[in-house]
Amino acid sequence: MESLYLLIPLTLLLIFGAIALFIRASKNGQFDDLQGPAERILLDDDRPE
Amino acid sequence: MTAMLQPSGAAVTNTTANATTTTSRVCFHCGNAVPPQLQLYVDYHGQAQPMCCHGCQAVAQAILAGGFEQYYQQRSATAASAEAASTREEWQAYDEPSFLARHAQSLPNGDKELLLLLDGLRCAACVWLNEAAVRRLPGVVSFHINRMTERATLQFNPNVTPLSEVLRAIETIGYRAWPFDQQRAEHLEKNQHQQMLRRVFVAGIVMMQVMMFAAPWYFGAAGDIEPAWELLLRWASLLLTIPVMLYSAAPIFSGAWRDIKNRRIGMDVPVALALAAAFTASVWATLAQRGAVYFDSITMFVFLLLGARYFEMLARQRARQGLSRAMRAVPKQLMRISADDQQQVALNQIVAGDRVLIKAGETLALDVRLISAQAEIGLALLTGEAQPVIKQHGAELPAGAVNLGQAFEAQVLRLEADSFVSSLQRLIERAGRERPQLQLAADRVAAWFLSALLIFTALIGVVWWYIDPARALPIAIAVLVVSCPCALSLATPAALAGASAALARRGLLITRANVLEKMARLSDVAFDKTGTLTQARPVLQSVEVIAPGWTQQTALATAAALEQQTQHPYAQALLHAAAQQKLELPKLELNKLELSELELNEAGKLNLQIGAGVQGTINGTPYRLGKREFAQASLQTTSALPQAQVFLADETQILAAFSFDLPLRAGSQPALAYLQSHGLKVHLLSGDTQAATQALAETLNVNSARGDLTPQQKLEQIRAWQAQGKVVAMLGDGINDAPVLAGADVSIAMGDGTELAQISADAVLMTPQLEVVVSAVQIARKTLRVMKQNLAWATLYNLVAIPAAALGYVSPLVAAIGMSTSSLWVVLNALRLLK
Repeated sequence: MESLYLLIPLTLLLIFGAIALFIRASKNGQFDDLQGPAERILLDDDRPE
Repeated sequence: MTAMLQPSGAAVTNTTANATTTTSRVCFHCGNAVPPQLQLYVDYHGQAQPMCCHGCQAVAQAILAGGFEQYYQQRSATAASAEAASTREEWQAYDEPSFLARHAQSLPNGDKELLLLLDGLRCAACVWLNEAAVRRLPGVVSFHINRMTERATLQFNPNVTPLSEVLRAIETIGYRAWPFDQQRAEHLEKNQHQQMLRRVFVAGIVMMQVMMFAAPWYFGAAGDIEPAWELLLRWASLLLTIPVMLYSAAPIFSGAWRDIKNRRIGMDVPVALALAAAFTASVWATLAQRGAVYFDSITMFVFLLLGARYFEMLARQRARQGLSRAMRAVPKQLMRISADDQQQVALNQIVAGDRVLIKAGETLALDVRLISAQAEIGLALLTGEAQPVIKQHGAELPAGAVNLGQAFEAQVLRLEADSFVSSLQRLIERAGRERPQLQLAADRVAAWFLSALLIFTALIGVVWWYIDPARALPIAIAVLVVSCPCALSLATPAALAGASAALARRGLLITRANVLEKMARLSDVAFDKTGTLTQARPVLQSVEVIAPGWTQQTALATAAALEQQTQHPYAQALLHAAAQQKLELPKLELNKLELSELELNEAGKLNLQIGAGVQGTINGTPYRLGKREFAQASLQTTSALPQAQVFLADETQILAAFSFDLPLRAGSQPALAYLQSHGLKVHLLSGDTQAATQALAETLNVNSARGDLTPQQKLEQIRAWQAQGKVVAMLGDGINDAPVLAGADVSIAMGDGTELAQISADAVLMTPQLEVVVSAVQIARKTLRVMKQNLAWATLYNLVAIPAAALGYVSPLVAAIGMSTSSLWVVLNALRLLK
């Protein structure tokens, strides 16, 4: 159970890391379009060149 | 994913031009009805698919020739119908270096980056089509469309591919694009969205982790957990909750502070108070190592509340984006006349009092006063009527009017800040600020509730202090926490967000907040005639040949040739009809007729008699095309003429008569029948003649119709109905409907009507399907029910929980659970609206 003294703080670090990553992605415009990427996946680009 | 739409009703099998079809055909590209006698087809996978006009045929062929046929397989909505090509001159202006310098960002390697506003994107396949078509142009480095905002980022080398090329490529496949000024408001909107999303994320992820930490207590192991671990977990929860309190919940606290400073108790105040109390108590409990902690409830509540507000904001932003298309119609340059010369000047360099030249076909960017003797302008943007209006010297011409006649000189009256463009912007802002009546009522109840609660809690604290001091504080906290007005504050935003989304999916954009409540009680629906039930642009109905030796085709070709340079609606109708029949227009001679004072290159060599008609020479013979009096002017005899709007004559006789009509929107009749079958009374209110209105009413099977009405009279009729206790919705498309729209309980503007009407209406109908009104009423009723259910639940819950907490029966854990589940319940209830 003593491992909790390591694991819990590690969890905290992880969460803060996740938040930092999210904010960075948001600043890069990752979440500006919430519809397009979902539909884009279904569209192939099979045009003959 | 939405189902792939195949054009329905295409009763065409491998038909040759001779075969006749008895069932009505539908255009493969845009879905509009195909005129029975028209035989236009496109070969799609070996099958001849019908087209409704040459525009759609051209676009469809372009799409297929470009290898983009996958678009037809993938699309989930029909395309916008292909309109006639826009003026090329518009595009040339975009190639000017000065334009690019102002609107485009320069990249280090010399390329330019620009934002484009796109029109006609109906579904995902449209996005794909446009991106593919633009990307294959040389010189285009990247082109990315944001589906949510319908804006695109273009990176290109203007020396290889000028901007006009890109715009043309987009128009060739049937869409339209404009360079888009990223104004500060848009920037703010994007920031707002990003910020809100981040706050929701932080609250969400912390909520999940804190609840994981609290899981042992949920599973009833409360007594068995050693104090050491409990302390560790509490500290961890505390550290995690801090960002939620400081960052995610910041808007709640600042809103509450603002309310308090203004001496009112808004919805944020009780929430902020509960959060602060719960957090403080939890911190104290962690430090003192006794008592209960509420970190899990706090984070969950913040997450749910922010989530609901986020969706609400998203719906509002989407409505605003749809409306901000009105901005694109305004040109950014004007031709200023000074004493010795004239030059093209940017809009922001124009001052009041400048003399400007308004070219034929140009849209007025500012309010002006007419200097020339006469001007023929179209006020379609403001009134929805396609009929040109003649103004005399000295008259005020509003911004947004289109010059349908010759070029004229005018004096700038007011700058943009005071013109209709900025009033558009203000209306847009207003749309985002209001709150529904029910929510305002809920706010007031909450305010009273909170004051009562605070007093009550204090009382309880004091009472318990005398009975058993150790329990006083926990019980007071429990009372505050369990009674948290979560349900109250969530009830309306959640329902509103769900309803807005459901309606938006069906094509009705809500722009004012109190629409849903009024729609739920709707009893009558009034329709404007022109542009709402009928299309706004006239269509050539018939050509009657009067002179011998002329056929319908030659008459039409001649008439269309004469009207080539005009923007007049009848001219457009003639040109469209001639193009449909693929007529070759005879060449118009460069005439030597006297020109008016303001001779302009672009206006061509025609002599445009203001308001009456056009006069031109073809093959040596002068012709006149216009109203009866104008066409007859040069003739000696006046014979009996059929009823028509426009006549073609040469020097000796009247040659032909042209009748125009405003066609009915497809689907009007079944839509009205549908409305009536659902208990709504339908009325027709029109400014057109009583005869025309009555005729339309009979076609549509409507009992109540009144014509010859001024806007004032329409308003009076609506007021009369309201006095009878009816709740009236008005559907219109022009700004002359504006006072009427404002007076009706619910005003709905047509999505393809005038932009100004859309801005001032409560809701915008983006599809031509009028049946949506019925769905809207049903959804509105359901929303009200849900809102009331939520409020009832919140009340009941409080009635039970608060006494229980006051009496000491509610342990902190139970209080926390109660707080969370009541919030969750309210949101889930609201989600039912999304169906």
